[in-house]
Amino acid sequence: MKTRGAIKFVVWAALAVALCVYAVYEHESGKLDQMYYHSTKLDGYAVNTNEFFTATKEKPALLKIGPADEIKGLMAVPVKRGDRLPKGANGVIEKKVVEEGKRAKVEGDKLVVTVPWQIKETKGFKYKDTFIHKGVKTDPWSGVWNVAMTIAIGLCLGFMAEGFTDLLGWKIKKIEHFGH
Amino acid sequence: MKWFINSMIGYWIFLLVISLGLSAICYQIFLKDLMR
Amino acid sequence: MFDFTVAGHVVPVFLLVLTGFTVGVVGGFIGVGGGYMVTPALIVFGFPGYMASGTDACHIAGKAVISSIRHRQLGNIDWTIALGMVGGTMLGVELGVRLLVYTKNIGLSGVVLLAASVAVMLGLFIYTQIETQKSHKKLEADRKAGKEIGREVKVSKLPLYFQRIPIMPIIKAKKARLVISMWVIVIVGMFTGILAGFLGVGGGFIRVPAMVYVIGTTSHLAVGTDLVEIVVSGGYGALRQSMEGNVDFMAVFFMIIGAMMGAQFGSLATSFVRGPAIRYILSYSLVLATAGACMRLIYVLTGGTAEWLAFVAVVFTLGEMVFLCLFICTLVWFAVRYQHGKSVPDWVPDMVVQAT
Repeated sequence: MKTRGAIKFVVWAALAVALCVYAVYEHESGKLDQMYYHSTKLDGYAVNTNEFFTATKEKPALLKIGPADEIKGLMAVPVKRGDRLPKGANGVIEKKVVEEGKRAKVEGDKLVVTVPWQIKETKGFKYKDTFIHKGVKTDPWSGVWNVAMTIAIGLCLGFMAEGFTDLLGWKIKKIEHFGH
Repeated sequence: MKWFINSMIGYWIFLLVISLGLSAICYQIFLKDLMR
Repeated sequence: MFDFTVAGHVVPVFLLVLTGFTVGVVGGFIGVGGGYMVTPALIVFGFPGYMASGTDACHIAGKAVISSIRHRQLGNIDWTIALGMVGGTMLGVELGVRLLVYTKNIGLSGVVLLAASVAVMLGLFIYTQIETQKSHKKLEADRKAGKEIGREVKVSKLPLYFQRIPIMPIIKAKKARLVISMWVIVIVGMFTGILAGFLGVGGGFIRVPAMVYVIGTTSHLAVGTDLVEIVVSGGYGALRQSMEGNVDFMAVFFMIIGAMMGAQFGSLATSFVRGPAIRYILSYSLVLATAGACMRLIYVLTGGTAEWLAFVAVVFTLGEMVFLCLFICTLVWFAVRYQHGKSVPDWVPDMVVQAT
């Protein structure tokens, strides 16, 4: 039993390591982010909310409006519902919000934003995000990838552990539910 | 102390105090700066 | 500190691994996903609320797979019941998520969620605690009278009513040794699925009591079988949440690294204890989660100004996971001591088994 356990352990451990390396690679190469920030859910301006997290009413952030493939710095790219998000965007300021004019408004060729991307209503328990993740749709296959990877890693780790206890020679007996 | 742990409710309180203490330490080390 | 680019926050990795470990121990032992403990913890660590919920749903699926494999080895899974519930669970989770979206659109989500979860958890705690204490007394009396005691002692008469329902098809669950209408199983699955989808949890904390008190399985079987269901409900919930964009995979990854060890320990721990011990820990986790939810509710309702209130709420949220993990670990330690004949607190011999 010990040798079978050893083989089981090594095989599943190798698979687990392979999956983990794959996951880390996906993260490092930015593919995970691209899966997330995929397309728009509404009409408005695509922005990189991390760029204006210090915006206030007195010192608003000025985002240059204009079409672009990648958002670098203070830029706002006009998008329509269903458009592919430009690279670097992580939120969409809705057209309605701009028309309201309270949190953001258009002045000439600049989008003036007076609130930061994240307002902490209460310390740590209630977040009121203003623009981050808003209006962003993820690649539908990202859900499948997430769940499949999680379950696959779980399976590998679980069987690896079973192999490990076999390898150690622990006899795991079945629990007697109805006996003594 | 022994008597305290011997009853279930005493043991419960004992463990709760220890865990709250441990998590207070965690809070001090990690989370204090996150939650300005 | 690790930069979770999707969630948009920098969080210490150690806390995620620790959370994964402690909740892995607890989840593997009482058969829950641990969502109602992890989601608040993630919010405390700084994840936005909806991302905490989605990330948690995803991690639950992975952790439940690890625990299920070990429980299968221990013989704690009745596949008839597990597979019978799957359909109901999936349907229930879908309905629950739609209900959540509906309440979010009317603008009620936060408070309704908290109130609903508090009500459910409190009710379950009261029933489970009372029944388990009665079982404990019966166990103690039997042991003092010298009678032989089994792995499971239950005094609830509820399962008898549900097992008598004559709606066809009636199925035989071999491992659980019961005969019950399939509809009871499906509806239990659906009802727990709705709660799971709505509250964004795995649903274990209601499905385990439901299996023990409604369907009538033993505690150990309920734990193992429920963990299989959590793979389904957690996985499906995670799928839906991912499509809304609520899952940060790297956070899930780190939590599973922690759960890898924790789930093993928690699952193996079940072989050291009797049924009532599992139900006790389950009821404690319910009451602690309720207390934690109440504290957070108070904190939010008072406008979130008092610094000390934040401290208390955070410490409690983390503390409840550590408490349950410590309780389970010390139970195993006492069990081993008892088996070797050393001294243990008075209440231990009823809770643990003489020989594994």
